[in-house]
Amino acid sequence: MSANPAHSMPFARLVGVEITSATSEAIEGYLDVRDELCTTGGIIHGGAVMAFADAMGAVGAFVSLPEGAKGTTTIESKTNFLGAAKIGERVTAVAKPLSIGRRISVWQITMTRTDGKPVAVVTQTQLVL
Amino acid sequence: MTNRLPHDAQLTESLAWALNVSTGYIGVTMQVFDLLREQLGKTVPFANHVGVEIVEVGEGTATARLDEQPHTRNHIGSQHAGALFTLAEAASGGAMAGAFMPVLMQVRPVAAESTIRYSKIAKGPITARAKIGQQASGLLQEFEAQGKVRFPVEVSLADESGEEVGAMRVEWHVSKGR
Repeated sequence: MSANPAHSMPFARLVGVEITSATSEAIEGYLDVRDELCTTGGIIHGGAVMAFADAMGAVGAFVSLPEGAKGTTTIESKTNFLGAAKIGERVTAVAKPLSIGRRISVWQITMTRTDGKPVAVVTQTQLVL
Repeated sequence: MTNRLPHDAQLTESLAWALNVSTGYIGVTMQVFDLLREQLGKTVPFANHVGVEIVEVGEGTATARLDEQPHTRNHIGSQHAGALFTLAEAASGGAMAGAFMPVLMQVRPVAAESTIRYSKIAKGPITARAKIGQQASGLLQEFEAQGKVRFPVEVSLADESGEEVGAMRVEWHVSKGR
C-alpha cells in the first residue's frame, strides 16, 4: 500500500481522495472539489461523494481485516445527501466502524465542509473476502 | 444540494426549442428524447470524467453504460463501487428528466437519498436501466398541483451476460425552480 492508501484504488485516485489518517478506530481524509467532480451548477456530484465515502469505508475495512483475509468489497451503501459543496471547497470525511465482524464490517462516513456544514452521511457494509 | 440535473440555464437553445415545439407527434417526441439524452451526456462533468454514456432516455426510463477502463477499477480489479454508483445515478437522473420532459425548464430536481446493493463482482461493460416508481403522468399531475413531488427511481445494473451485478434506489425530490 502506498503512502495514500486510497491510491491502491484507481477510481479513488481519479476522484482525488486523500487519506490523512487510518487506524482501526477511524479513517480521516479529504477531497477538494474540482470542476470535473461536479454536476451542473458547479457543485459536487453525488457519485463523487459516494466514491469518496467508499474509499474511506474500504480503507477502514482493510485495516480491520481479520488475520488471513484477502481483502474486502462493498456490498451495500446508503447515502443521505445533506448539503452542497462548491468548486474550490474542501470536503473532509471521517469513517468510523459501527461493527466489525469476521465476515462483515459496517461503517459510517460523515462528510462536512470546512465551515462545519454537513455534505453527506454514508452507511455501508463491507464484506471480508 | 447535490445531484442537480440540467434545468433552465443549462439547457441549450436547441432543446428549449424542441420542448416548445413538442406537439405530441411521435417523431417529434422521439427527437426531443434524443436531444435530452445528448444534453444529459454533455452537462454533467463528473459523469463525463468517469466515462458514463447515456444510451437512451424515455418517458420515465433511461439506460446508461460504463465500459471498464483502468481508471474505473478498484483494488481488486473490478469496476469500483463509486463508478457503478455514478453510472446508476446517471441512469436515474435520465429517467427523472424523461418523466418531467414537458416541464423540464421549470423543475429543480434533487437526489436526496440513494441506496445501492452490490450482488456480484462487476467485470467488463456494465449497463444501468432505470425506471421511475410510478406513471409519469401521475408525477406531473402532483407536481402541477403541489409544486413538488417525491418519488423513487429503481435502477438495475447488469453485466454483458445480462446478469444483475447490483441495484440502486434513488429518492428524487422535484420542486418548481426558483
